[in-house]
Amino acid sequence: MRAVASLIGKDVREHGLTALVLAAATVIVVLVALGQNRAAAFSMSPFEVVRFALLTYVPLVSLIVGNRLVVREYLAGTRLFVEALPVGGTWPLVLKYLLGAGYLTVLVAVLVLLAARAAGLADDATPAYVLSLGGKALVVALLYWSVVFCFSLCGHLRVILYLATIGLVLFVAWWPGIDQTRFSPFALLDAQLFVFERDLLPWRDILGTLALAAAFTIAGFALSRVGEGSVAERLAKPMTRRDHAALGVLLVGGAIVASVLVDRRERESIAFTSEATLRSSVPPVSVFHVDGSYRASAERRLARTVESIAELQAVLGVTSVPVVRLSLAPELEPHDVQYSTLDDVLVRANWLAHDDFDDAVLDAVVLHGVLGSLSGERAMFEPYHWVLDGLSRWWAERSHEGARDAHEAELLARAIFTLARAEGSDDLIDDWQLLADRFAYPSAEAIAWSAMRYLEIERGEETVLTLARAFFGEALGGNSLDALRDRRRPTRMRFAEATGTAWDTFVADWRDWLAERAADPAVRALLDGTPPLTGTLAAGFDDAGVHRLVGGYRPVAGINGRAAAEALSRAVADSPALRCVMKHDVLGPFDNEFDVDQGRDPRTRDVADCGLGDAIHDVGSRYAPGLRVYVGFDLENGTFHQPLRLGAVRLDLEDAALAPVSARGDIDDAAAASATPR
Amino acid sequence: MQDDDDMTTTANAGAWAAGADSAGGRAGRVIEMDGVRKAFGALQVLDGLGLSVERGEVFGFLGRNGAGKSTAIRLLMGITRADAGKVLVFGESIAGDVVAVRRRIGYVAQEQNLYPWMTPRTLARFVRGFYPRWDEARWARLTDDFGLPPKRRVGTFSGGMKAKLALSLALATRPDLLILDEPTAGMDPVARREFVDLVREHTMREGATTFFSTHLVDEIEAVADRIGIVEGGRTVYEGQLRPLRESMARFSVALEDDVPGSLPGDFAQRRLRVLEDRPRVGRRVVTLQFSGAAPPAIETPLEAGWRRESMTLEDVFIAMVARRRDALG
Repeated sequence: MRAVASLIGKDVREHGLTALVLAAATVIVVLVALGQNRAAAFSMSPFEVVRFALLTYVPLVSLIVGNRLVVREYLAGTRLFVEALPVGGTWPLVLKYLLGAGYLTVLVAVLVLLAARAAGLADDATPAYVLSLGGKALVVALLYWSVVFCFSLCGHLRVILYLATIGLVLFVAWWPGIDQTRFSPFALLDAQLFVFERDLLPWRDILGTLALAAAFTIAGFALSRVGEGSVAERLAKPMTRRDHAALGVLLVGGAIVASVLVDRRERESIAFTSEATLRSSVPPVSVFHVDGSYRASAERRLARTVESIAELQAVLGVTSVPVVRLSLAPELEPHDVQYSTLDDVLVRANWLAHDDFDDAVLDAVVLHGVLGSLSGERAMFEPYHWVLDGLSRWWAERSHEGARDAHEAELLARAIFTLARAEGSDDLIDDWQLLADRFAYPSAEAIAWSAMRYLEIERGEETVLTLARAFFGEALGGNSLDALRDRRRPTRMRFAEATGTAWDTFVADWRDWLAERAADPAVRALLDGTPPLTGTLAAGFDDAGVHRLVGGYRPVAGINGRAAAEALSRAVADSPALRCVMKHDVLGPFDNEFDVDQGRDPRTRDVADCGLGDAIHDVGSRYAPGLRVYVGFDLENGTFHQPLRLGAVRLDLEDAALAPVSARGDIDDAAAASATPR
Repeated sequence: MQDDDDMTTTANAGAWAAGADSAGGRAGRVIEMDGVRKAFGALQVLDGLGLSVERGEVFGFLGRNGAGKSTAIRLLMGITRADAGKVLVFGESIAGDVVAVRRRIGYVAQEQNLYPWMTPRTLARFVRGFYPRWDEARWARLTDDFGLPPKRRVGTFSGGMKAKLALSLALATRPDLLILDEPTAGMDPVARREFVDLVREHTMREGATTFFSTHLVDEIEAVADRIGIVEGGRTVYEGQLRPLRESMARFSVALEDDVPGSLPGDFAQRRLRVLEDRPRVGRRVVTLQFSGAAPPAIETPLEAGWRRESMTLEDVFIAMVARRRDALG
């Protein structure tokens, strides 16, 4: 016993201070996190802090503990001193394992108890719940320690093993084809179940994790005994320069292989293998038409697309264009066009229900994909994006000579309607993302198209094409330096070089031209038939304790209620199918471009007859405080082909009573308040 | 040269052990190794090693680097296990209660892998937990004698100080057997001499059995009652040093005067074996070993051109080792 006490005492003396500092740091970090959580308007469960710590802090602590307890002993050779003392061969290592495991157990227990104490103030943290959560946390911590213990005995190989493990974990966590919630230990740390499962213990996941921990522990002890410890001793020797070089080569090689593999996966194209597919090889376009009865429409669509792309290719002077695949989707609304771009452009649309305007929308979407892909996606860079959107639609409209005037009226009316309420977020270069976010893609596209159309009228078609070449036609090198050089050229300068017009002059003239076009009869008719409304929104808990989103409509600033009511009546009379729709959905932390229309999920749409008032829409119990949601208000089935967004706002839901989201109560005010000042 | 091979094999059984083991019977043996073999992968480190150490004697364990000395000591400490053969310490197999055996052994390793953050005081506090016979007064006296500052971190000690510290720790456990595994390796000559003097002084005072492994022959000369020479994993000599030294004589002849195959004189016919016969610095050098003391110069009339050379202890060691190496080669 004295020998055991000596060994423990030695480790406590050697590592005690570090252990105390780590423990103190843990407590401070957890207390700060819990305090911030409590003070925040949208608090989460304090036990989320435990899970967060298990994913980030605890592995780090395990690594430090393993490095000090095991690695140092081997690296410094002091193990050889202990080895000659009168003590059983594996005892020193067993004690180190138990010390590390014990330390992490205490640390995690403190963490859970602190969270439980914080939760106890507002949550029902029963002993059984805390025990269950603590048990799961301890099992995870034990796994970490077992892995660290095993790898620590692998000497300088541990660096490679840690990197490989991190790579494997990231692969499992992020690879789309793997459902990591189905197996341990990922399932045990499930984002929902780890914290919120109060009644059931996930025995299968706990046992799976324990088995994994046992495997690493046994492997560690086995390694320490191989060759009577000589293998672990040899591995413990510091890495030589050659080892470092080999590790470097291995890492770079691994990164290259990984990037190639990932790249290949991304480049895996979707091929239409059905016989109901029409194909063109130059330019490469294929059209899937479901069955033979739609073949004729598919042939027309193929011919139209091929002609449009081939001409664009010739005008821009590009040698190859990405493969375009069009798929007929009869279940979609006429104005719904779904598309994705990898290396190929894949578009789904219901062109059977299209009129000429919808066809132009589809053409523009295809061209958008082609141009975006041609630019190596650099067209998605915000200052360039408006050029991509505008040029796509302009090119599509250019091919629709016959119906151009009708299309123009609708596009102009949409652009004018939107710009009138987009003050503060209407700069094409600097505000494009914000503009598209607030007023949806069709309106942003109409604005960009109007700019291109004005350029065509004022400077001629060739100027527009020169602008297109300047942004998309120039070959861009494949390396980062070329990309940086490309971005260092200010967009305003690039625009001026291509068009011969200073940007500010162009914008002023274009806005004047738009204002003049508002007087065109066709445009005026469309604008008059569109009620001058904006959305109102209130959020919070009602008296019954239900969290609600309550939306409504009121006249835009500068329009009185009576005029708005009359306009609304007119609009409903002209378009009996006109509906007001409040669209809403949860925003992820990194959602940049957000399409609330995606999929037309009825759970994210509240459709109502249009009317004035602050309680036209009422969505109860769908969202909780702490979430970030997007709420937009659309007019559908009016005089415009595509939904017309009146406005939208991104909102952090607060733990508060039901109240308007802005001082004025309307979303324009809320959006302006939340916009980042430039 | 037929006899040479015979003698090589019997050396392992202690057959040629001048002046050896009359002092103690089997019951007095502290260490007994017989036919011990140990390999690490394809490398055969010990190849039938055999030796015995009697109670109270200082045994010098000589061998070149890589001869298998440290491996033999690791076997004695129970750190590694023999592939074959017998290893007895205090008459017990080391494979039995290794902890009990180690408690009776004081061990000073070749490299002092002491915790650099510890002071001699904390180190003693750590080590004494393993040894029930730890003698605090002795420890205090030893550190005082050796001039070891009790509160200074071991990491700041010189190699000599660390070796003294390790020796103090080993002696403070009141060991029945003190094993020193090349403790002076890396020390300068002054520190080495000082350390050996300390060992001699304390072993004489305490009367502990000491197993002193080294490749430095002069160290052994100062302290050892008996020696064992190991080469290629086998014992090539075990016994007292003086008879070994007296049994050898070295002769040389200029290469231009040399008649191939000739010997320095008729007396050479009475040799036990030729340990060495090779050209060196323009002369042919022949070292002969006799079964008893080599005949004195007056009784050894030399052939023309031959002369008798003096031999240091180091020459004796090299000659023994060289013979074994030649036999292996």
